Amino acid sequence: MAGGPAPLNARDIRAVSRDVAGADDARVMRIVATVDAMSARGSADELIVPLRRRLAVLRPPRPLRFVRLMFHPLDPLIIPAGRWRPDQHAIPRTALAPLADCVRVAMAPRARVIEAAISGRTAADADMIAAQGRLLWPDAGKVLMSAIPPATWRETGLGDAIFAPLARRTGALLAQMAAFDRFCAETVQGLLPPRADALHAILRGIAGADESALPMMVKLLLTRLPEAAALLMAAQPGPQGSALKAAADETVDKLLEQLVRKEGAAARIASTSLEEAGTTVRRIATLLRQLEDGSVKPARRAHLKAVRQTLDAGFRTRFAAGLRDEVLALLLAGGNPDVQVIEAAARDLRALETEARAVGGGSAYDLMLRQTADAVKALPAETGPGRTDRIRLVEILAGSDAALAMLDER
Amino acid sequence: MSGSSAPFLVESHHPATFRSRGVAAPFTTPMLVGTRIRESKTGIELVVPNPSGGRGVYILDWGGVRTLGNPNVHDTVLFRRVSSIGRLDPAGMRDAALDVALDGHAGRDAAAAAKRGIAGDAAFRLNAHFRLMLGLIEQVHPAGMKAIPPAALGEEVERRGTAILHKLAPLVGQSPADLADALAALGNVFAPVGIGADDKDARTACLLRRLEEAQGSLSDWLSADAENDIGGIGRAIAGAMQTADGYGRAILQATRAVAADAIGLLKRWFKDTEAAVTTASRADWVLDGWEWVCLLWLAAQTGAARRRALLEMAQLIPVLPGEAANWTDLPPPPETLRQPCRVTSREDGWRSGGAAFALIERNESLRAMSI
Repeated sequence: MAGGPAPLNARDIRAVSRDVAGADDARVMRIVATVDAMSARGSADELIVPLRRRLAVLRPPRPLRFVRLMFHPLDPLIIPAGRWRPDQHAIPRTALAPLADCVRVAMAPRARVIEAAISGRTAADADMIAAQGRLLWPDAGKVLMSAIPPATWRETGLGDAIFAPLARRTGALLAQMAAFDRFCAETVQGLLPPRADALHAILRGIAGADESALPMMVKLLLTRLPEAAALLMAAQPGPQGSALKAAADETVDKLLEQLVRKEGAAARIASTSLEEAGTTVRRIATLLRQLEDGSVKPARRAHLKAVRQTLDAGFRTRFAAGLRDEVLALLLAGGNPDVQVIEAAARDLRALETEARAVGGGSAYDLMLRQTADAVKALPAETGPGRTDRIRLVEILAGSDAALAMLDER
Repeated sequence: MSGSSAPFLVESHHPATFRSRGVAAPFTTPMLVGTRIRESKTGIELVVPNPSGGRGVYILDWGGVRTLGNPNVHDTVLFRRVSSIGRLDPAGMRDAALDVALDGHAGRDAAAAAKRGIAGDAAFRLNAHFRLMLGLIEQVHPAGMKAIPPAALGEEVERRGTAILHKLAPLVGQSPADLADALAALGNVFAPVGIGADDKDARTACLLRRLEEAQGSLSDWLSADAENDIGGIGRAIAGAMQTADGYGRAILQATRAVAADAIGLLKRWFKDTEAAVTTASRADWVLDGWEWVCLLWLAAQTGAARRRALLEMAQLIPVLPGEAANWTDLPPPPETLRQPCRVTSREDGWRSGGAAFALIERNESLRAMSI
């Protein structure tokens, strides 16, 4: 280490973080690439914290490292260490590297084989994650169930007493992640019905290993495959049925609260791409539909109604902003706009809006779409997109009848 | 056009002929993917796969289709264009679809691809015409063209071909000009299959390579992990692809064998033009609908996308009509005469509502990938 750069202290990090937060997109991408290239990221990881929202939009290719592969299926549970509390059903981000260290050391040669396989790949390589993850996760789960704190645990500042329960919960979850990944894959992105027996086996596995991990599993399930929510909420067979039901109820309530928090769903879709926002809205709409399915307690029904109202406002705001900034602004800027970019944005907006209607606000969307379609029709003939492009845009925004009328109006 | 009529469901769809199977329409509205159009006593009608994925097809007029699937502008314009062409066959559908795409109704990428496709078709027609003329000369003077330097070949083929047409005219009972026109027309109808066993660039040959590539890729993927298949759907599709590939190759070979006898072809043309056109179009009919199935597979890059593609492909596997048995020496296996697999949908959420927008975009990108 002699002659190398001095490690950054907390004050340096805070100062640099402030600069980083205001960096332009190109600089953000360079910073992320630099931090990702470090073999030991340590406190440099904190540089990325203020960028996470922007990274959700920019989506830089993140290298697929051992730790990222190991925690990939648990991503919805990972939160900044500063917000983490021991009774929370979550994993503090600072714990990831030490937990991965335990697994890497215990699995030694097999870990090296996995690291070699993922070398040079990125976190966007879903097939590689599934293939290598299914090899890693069950073994990682076993290791963590009885792991002792590695030397690097001290750097987390979480305290020794935290390690064992956190490692056990994480291990209980990871042990089921290969089965969970297969369970999700079998539904072909929600097209086929989820298998009750497979879900129950996963939940029994978690409950048998560490019952306190059940709420985290429920959160993973509801986040990744909301289509399975009704299945989850239905009566569970076996002796652990009541524990599962309690965990499901508790997690659903917390999830609904999280959705409507200041930093909840509305904030999330406001800071992601339109495509991602549409996916998020679809998942939430599916979740709400599933939770309202069948017999629901009056309190839960009232809660769901309130959640819908709050979400509706957030979804409409995102839709209006997208329509204004990513469609109208480009069309009205004059010159020769990139029609394919505008079409893609309009499609993403329609996908978002169609899903969001399930939550509420139908007439507001109709009005905004009609106004935008009218603006497209009113564009000066001599500038901007050609006639067919305009017809296509009107079709995306206002439907095929409006577009056909435009086509036939000569 | 705008009136709606009650659709009727045909519980078993075992078309006896290719014409009754209909021509695959490259519609981009998700609910209409897999639709075929065929001539009927009252005009044209549409054969739409049962939207639930269950048995049977819906037979509809355009009004019925509008009720069922809310077709987009591209599909409406394509239907209007197809309605006005005199003869409904795969070649006519292709020309109409290229024109509509060229106008931009399937997006800019598809328009650019259509421009290339139209230019390519024109080049194939010229090439087929040239090869037919060359074949004619070689039939009359078997060693005659061997000594001609490549640079002078075009001019020499023109000169010698014209002379041969003048010689043949009284034997066939036609004028040289009529013979020349017939040769050009034969070039047009035989262009998709190509003339000569070595014509690897002809569209049918390219489509067969695409089918082989998709079949190979699907089979490899299925073999790599038993969990990749969904209830045997993948295997059934791969099997159907292999059968279609075999039939396609047999028909291609048979059609090219006919075209190898240029003099005989000219005689057939004057004796029964319809029969000559039918012979030339057999490969198109046999492979009609397969390109979309292949593109669905080839465009799917991840495991999740491939599993999803399997569910879509299963609904679109073209059924082989009994008529196929008359076209080659290969008896059609019984399983090819019916849909090899079905995927019954719980709901249409995957291709309607918000999902439809991304699917239209995907379908347009498949149009841009089309040969």
